[in-house]
Amino acid sequence: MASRVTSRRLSLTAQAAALYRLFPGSTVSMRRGVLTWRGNLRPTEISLEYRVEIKYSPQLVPKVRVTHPALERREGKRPPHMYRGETLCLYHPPRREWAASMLLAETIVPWSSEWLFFYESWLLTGHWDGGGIHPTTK
Amino acid sequence: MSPNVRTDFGNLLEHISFELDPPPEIHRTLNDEYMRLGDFIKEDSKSRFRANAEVYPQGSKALGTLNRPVRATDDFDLDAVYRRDIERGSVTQAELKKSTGDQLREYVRVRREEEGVTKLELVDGRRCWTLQYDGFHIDVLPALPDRSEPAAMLAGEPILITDRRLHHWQASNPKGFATWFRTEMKRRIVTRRDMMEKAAGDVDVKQIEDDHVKTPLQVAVQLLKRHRDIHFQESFGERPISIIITTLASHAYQGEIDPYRALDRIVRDAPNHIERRAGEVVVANPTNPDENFADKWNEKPALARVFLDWLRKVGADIAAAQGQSGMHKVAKSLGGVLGEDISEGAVRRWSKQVHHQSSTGQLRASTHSATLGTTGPIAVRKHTFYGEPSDE
Repeated sequence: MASRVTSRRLSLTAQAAALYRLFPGSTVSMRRGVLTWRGNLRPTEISLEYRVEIKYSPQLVPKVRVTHPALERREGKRPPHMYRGETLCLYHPPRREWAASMLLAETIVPWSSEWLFFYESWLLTGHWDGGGIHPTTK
Repeated sequence: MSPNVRTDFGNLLEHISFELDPPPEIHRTLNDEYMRLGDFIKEDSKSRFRANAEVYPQGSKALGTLNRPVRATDDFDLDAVYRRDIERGSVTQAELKKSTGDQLREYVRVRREEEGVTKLELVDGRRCWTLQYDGFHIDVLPALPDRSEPAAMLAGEPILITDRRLHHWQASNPKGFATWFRTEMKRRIVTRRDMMEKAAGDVDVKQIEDDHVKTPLQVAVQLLKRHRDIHFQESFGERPISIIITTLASHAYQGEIDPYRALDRIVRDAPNHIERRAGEVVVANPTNPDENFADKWNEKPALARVFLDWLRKVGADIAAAQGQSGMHKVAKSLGGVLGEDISEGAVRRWSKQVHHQSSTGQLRASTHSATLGTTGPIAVRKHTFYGEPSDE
């Protein structure tokens, strides 16, 4: 692709507005240029409800945590597709799947729900059937 | 809850029923075998008996409710009718059985010697012949057309089969029953059997006939039969027979589009369709009111009680599973009564379906809780999970 796509970075206010609009009942706070979103996600009617927190500031990538209930291990192992066992790895940066010109409400939030779906599936079967890639081993 | 809405619990039940289906290769082999057998019998009967004859599936294969056996090492259990078009008075039950056996013996010989099939044997059952293949068997039941006056008034194809003692002719009508069942189940058609899920809508009737599409009634019957298979593993003689389960389920089914709603209704309402006539318990063949599928319940009255107790347990087990929180807990609870391998397979199946929807841009999310599905206002954009593999 020769031309460079100019994408305007969305303001935190715009991000907050979309989050409130699509996920009423969630909370958004902004402090020192960091947006913190806390909402409850339930991937299917039979899934648990999970409290999810997203911290985002325009200079950094969004960081997603599941704060409640605590994520379980399976046979002693932590779920796959997490960063240091704390934050969720929802996209592959080189593929430009997420950019600051996109709404968190339309990307990170539904991707988190999807992650939680495959997490519950993995808890039962031991298989992560959501696809995905891992960093190549050194 | 609107009867036209599908639930996620119903979704999981449906995936379980897909897991209970024979795998595609076996499905193909079974269809192929019925066809070959039918072709052979049709041709051979002309010269051997100077009569027309037909072989066709009956039972769960004909109804689209065939389940895998509980143990992977067990056989698939299939049924067929062998109908020779001759007069009732022209042959005794024993003669019909024997001559059919001679013909089937020739079929086995041809398949083995001329067509190279290695695992095929003919086994003498009491009133049927069993073709024993590798991994499945077909019980072939000899029959004649029922050309009596009362039979002329029945839909389907009334036949006469032998009783267990090869003594009396019994009226039966498996084709009529299959037609009746398929009519009942078509009241609401919903899903596709394979991975590419279409939105619920109008479905080609031919697809239903070919068993490419599964209906909520079929899902419910498969689940009931599976629960029964596991529950009565140690008490085989008491287990409710499939035709009773299937008939009562069909009467109770009210066209619910969701498999959970369908199953819930059936469990509650099926007992109301057991009749009492002149002091006898009756589950009548819907296509032949004189045939009582529950005749054994009158010989052994405890069987009716066993059936009702079992059905109540099904209801309790389903409710217990549905009351769990977390897909993994719901599925584990179902696995306890339907089989862990089946339940895990169903979750994997569902997961692969969601992954497919996600990677083809079909996945949507709701507002409020970001609940996933194929309808919903938020399009889930394509993405790739990244990060560490599962580790300590």
